[in-house]
Amino acid sequence: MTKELVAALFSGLVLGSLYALMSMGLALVWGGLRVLNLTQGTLYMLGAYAAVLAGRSGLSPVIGVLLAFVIIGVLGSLLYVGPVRRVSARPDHENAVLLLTFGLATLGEYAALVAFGPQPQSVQTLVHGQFTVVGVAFPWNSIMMIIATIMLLTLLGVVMKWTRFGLASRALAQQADGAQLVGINRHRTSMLIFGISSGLAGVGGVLLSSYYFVTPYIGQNYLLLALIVTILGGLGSMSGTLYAAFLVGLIQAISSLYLGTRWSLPLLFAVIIGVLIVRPTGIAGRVAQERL
Amino acid sequence: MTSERMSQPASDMTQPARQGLTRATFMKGIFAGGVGTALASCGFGSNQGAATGKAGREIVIGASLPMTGTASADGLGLSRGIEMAIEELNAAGGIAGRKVRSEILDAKDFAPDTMVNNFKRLVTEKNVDVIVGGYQRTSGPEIDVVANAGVLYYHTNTHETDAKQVRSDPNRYWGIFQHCPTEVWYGRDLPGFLTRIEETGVWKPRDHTLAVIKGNDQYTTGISAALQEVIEKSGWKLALVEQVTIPTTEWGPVLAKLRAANPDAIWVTDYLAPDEANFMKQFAQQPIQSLVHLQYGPSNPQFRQLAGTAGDGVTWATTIPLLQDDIGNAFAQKFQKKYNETVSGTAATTYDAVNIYAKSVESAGGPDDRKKIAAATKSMTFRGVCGSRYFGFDPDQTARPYPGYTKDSAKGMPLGYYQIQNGKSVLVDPSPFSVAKFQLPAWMKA
Repeated sequence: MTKELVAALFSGLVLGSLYALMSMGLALVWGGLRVLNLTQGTLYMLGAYAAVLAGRSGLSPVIGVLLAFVIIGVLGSLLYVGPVRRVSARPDHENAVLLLTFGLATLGEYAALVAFGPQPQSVQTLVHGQFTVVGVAFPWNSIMMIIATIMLLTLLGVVMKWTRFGLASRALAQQADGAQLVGINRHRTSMLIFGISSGLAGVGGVLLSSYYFVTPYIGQNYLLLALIVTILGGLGSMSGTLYAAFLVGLIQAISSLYLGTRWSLPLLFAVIIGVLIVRPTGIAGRVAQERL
Repeated sequence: MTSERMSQPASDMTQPARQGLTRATFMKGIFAGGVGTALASCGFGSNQGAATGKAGREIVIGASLPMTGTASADGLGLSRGIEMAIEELNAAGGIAGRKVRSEILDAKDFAPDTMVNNFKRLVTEKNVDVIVGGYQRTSGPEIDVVANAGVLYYHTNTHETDAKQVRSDPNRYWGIFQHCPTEVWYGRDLPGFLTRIEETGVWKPRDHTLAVIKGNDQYTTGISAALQEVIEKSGWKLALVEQVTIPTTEWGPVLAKLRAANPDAIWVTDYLAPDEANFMKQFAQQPIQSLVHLQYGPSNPQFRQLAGTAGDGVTWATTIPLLQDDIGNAFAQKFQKKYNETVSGTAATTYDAVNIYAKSVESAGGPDDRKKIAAATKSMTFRGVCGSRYFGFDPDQTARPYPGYTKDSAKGMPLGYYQIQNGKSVLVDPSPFSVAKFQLPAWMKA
């Protein structure tokens, strides 16, 4: 049974990576702007298509990752500069941004459907080969994805905690008017938050594309779990997002092994309900009073 | 499914600031979403074929197909089958002298309300003469919509419940035809297929054990239940039955269980091509000595592309096989020439459906007396690109499989078993339709 448990744990880590890659952009935007950006799934999907196009053009996967970060990042910045900024000046901007990004996400999916068609596309794995330990195969591509996810989220956490940009983002999240009074450029910071979170979604899409197949709906498929992870981790917390993503992945994998796959989602939601009853702000979320 | 997934958390998130939602904001959001929907709708309701008829009114063929959403690759194939059939019929002068056109509505992800609304629109707003399928994942309600309207319906829902519904009241459901055997035959016939392979001597099962990976919907639970009903008497036994949620991306825990059970054969009933391709890729990382039989997914050419060499050796079955004989190959070549793509099995189903209707109308002398057309359908034996259809076996007006139900290959529709060999699906069973012999997969030779 050890072999099966090791295989399930590894699957849980792979799933956790997929969820974390999807969730970090949501967490970043919430952490900085206190809004939910529902285009994250679509940007993730665009990153995956960037990998498809890079593969067809014969570009190296590393170039594909960089291009996805830059192009999708610029797209995200434009998303803020254009429609989001216009509605974020309103006092009810949280709802407005939610609905606006939902609409744009739908539009983006249909645009991808028209541009790329409904057929799933495959991308070469970024890293080939595997090794075997205790009779369980560990593909290097999956290992790379887990490591890349942890590195990206750790880097993001460091940026948010130790840099001027991170400080400005947190100040903006706590009290936007107060942040402006002490010299923080609200719109430039917000644009950067949208740009970085979108760029990360693009990178997530590239990494995902080497593991699963790319369709116009791939982002939506993960958006629900990404929202669950973001809430469970504590909205806006990078470390919480990382813990929650791997917790969700491991719960799914281990419950699938011991209880059967059909019990994995009910058990997952039971755990989430339990955690949120005990800690309403999530695993690493901060209490609401911090937001002045 | 995807929009449902999104809407729940979105509404949860909005609660703390609900009072801030204004009508203008709401309309902005709706507008943004609406544009996408409108974009997606463009082109699907096209009037394929000629716009005017030479004698009498046009014949309108309707369909509700998944043109967007997770099954949109199927929708594309299904719509192309209709398009090809209509083009050919119009080029030959139409059906009974009437020109033909289509009305296709988007079934999206098969939400029941979308399906019922589409069928109501087809019979009232679009005034169709006939509806062809294609399949509906949760079928049943649309059958009553069609019956109430007195419209003909030729579908491949592949649902035993639909057959039962028609059998329960043949006078009410006179116009409903299921032009393929139902899903239960996948389960009922599988032990027979495995035994036939064993009899070739190429494969020697160790202890005649089978693992079933079933999904969580009507279709997959139905086919696996049908297998469980017959397996005891078949000489095979179940080593593992595991349920997964469709779609499934990560197969690690399931594969861990399969490797522990080490059955002679594995049957994966999750029918989505990307899921099954991913299963094979992950299976291939550490294969076991088991034959892998997949449900439906490999019928989509995308499976071979997505799975790559990991898909070589798998077997799969379909109750609606595009036969690899002269008739089927001619259709495949025409499809390739028209769309510059490998033919999809889904296209063949709707191509046949339109032609079954066309032959019935010709036989009835015109499109207006629908009961007469239905009677013509029921009395004839149709030979299409997917084999023969005869609807008179039972009052359920559903085709039956050869050889599982009837030994008459001229009336029974072959339940086709394929194997992917060197990247191509070849029909290996049943005889006399098979074009190649079963080969032991590479991972079982090691």
